[in-house]
Amino acid sequence: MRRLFHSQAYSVPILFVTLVLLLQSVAVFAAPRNAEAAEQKILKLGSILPLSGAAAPWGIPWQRTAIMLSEEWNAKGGLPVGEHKYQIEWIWEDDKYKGEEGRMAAEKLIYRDKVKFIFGPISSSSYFALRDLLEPNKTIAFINTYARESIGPKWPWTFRVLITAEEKGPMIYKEVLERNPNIKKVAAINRDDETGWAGDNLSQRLAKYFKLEVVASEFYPAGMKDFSPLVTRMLAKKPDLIDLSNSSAGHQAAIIKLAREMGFQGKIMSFPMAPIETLLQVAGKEFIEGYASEAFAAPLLPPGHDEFKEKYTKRWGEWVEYAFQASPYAQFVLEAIKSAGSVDSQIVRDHLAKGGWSYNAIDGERRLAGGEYYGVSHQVYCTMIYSEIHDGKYVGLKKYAVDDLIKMVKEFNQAIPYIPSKR
Amino acid sequence: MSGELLIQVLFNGLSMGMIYVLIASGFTLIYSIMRILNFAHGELYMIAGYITFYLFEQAGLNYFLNLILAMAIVGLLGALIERVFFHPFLGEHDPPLIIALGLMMLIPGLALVGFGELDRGVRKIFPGVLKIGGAYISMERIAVIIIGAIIMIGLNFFLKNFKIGRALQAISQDAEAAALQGVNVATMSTIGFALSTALAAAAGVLIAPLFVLNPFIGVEATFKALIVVVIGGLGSVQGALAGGLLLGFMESFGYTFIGGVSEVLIFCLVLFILLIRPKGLMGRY
Repeated sequence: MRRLFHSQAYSVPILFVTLVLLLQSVAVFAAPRNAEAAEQKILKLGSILPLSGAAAPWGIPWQRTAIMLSEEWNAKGGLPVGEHKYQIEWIWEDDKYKGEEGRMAAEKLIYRDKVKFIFGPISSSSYFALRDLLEPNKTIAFINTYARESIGPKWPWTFRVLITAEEKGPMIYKEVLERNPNIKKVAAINRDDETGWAGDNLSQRLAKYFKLEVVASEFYPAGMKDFSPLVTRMLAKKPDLIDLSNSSAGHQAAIIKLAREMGFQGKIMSFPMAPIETLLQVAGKEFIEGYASEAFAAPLLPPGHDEFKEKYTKRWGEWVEYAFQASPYAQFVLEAIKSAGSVDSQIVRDHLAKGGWSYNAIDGERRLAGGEYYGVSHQVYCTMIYSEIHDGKYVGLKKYAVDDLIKMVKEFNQAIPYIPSKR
Repeated sequence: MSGELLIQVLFNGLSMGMIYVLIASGFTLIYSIMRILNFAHGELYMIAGYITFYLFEQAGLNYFLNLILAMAIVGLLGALIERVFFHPFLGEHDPPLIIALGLMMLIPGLALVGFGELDRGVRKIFPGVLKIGGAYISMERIAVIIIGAIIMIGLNFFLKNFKIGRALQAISQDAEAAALQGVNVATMSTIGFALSTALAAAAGVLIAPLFVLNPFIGVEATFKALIVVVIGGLGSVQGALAGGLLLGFMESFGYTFIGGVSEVLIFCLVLFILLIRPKGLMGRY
């Protein structure tokens, strides 16, 4: 009887763990699939995004905008590719922004699901862990990672559909310095991972380009909650500008709050914009005044913004400004396949690799370029808006067209050539 | 090193330490009563943070009323968790460990669905900054230190002077002997679990205005609590106090003067403490 009791007792935790895993899968991968598509031609697309963990605020809007876009095409009968129409079916994998999870996700998508197009990853660690799988399996990755080495001649099956710090950095620094000519000393702070190292490398080069002194270059572990020692260390060097570089929104907000509490009165900027909701809730309106980044904001909002906001809010119940920026990424994948006129990944890759391919996204033209400094024109460029926060809102201050941005990045890279960081 | 920097570093260490003490005290209390390493402890801290976000930040409830409500709600949730998941395995080692790990995975997933993926924050309750000797001391952090100290003194008083508190202490020393003296070990375990999760809730409410809130902050909190109780000694509330403050000061001095590498040095120090005192500074087990 005791033996029986024990076996029953141990079966409960096993059942419990099974239930946990099942529920987690349901929670994370609850994206709708098109059941009516069984009879039609199917275009199977894989995706590797952080759908849980600290980077989920990035991954989830990307997933949602991709779902919205495919629902629109599927409702019209499918994505027109050549002579056929394809119902779009997504297979979602969650890499939790981690290398080993990204590798596992890619193996599942490539070997189990036979996917030839992968949307993501957005984590450099995740992408670095899986990229050697792409070429042998003729699989294209439409990545969104910030590490400079993500694209290049060694990785012909990778296209970066996101504009990174490398592209927006010169524009943001130029605008910040033109508006604040007294800035002479900069302190950069980054997460201690590939994305953060890339951000620090860029900040160091930008400081050199704009003749600033880098007085601090700090790195923090991914799980850090209390930044007070690092901010103390940074402020002891008396910077005029805090460059939050590639830090995530939550980390940015926490650092801003502490720096202002500790008396910092200089300028604060970052490469990726942080959602205004997060900055307001965590740091408060008073402390985020003057924060500079790139963000689509009034009065320079593209015409489709409000309509998209309404659709997104109706579909998902909550609006995050970041979703507007995320929207063109999935569109890149679908437009690329549509424009190549084939679902053959080799044909799509060759079509895009010619360079100069472009399409019209919700925020204007998006064009592949960057051959002069990446060695391949696999980097997307788009219209950028330099914005600052004033009175608790992003305010668009200057618009940069694709050609202006390409020219600026080219000049910067010629003046300060990229040298890989030692980290 | 300038005087103002030293004051800043000492204050940072004290405020970080008190936060760790609050998180770790509940964690170690559960261990002392039930011998369970509750890896889901941080998840209850996270839930209390969200209660604060919804009741205080969104609904405008008084902060202190919110603190009491959050402790009561999370305490009840803790009692429910204990009854459903841990109670059937009272006195066993492996099943509760697996269950705690399962809850640590399950709760953030459910929180992501329920609370959303956005980083949240709670407005300042104690605005303002004091300038002492050139160092900037935020009123919020001073409040955390004071309220945290009051909670720890209250806990100590409760454990020593109340019948339930003494019963919990008796169980933590010898459960069988306590049972022979008429203590209902099963009921007291549930009460102890509820008390420790209420402590996690207090930490969550106090820390909500300081840090960013998202469904995944619990894992890191549990990890820190584990380090604290390893330093201070498993099952000892006084050990959690000593371990939490020591970790806070180590992190403050380490990150300020050495930078990111201090994380490695902290682990080296933990290893060193374990080598010379395997039970931790004040541990019994």
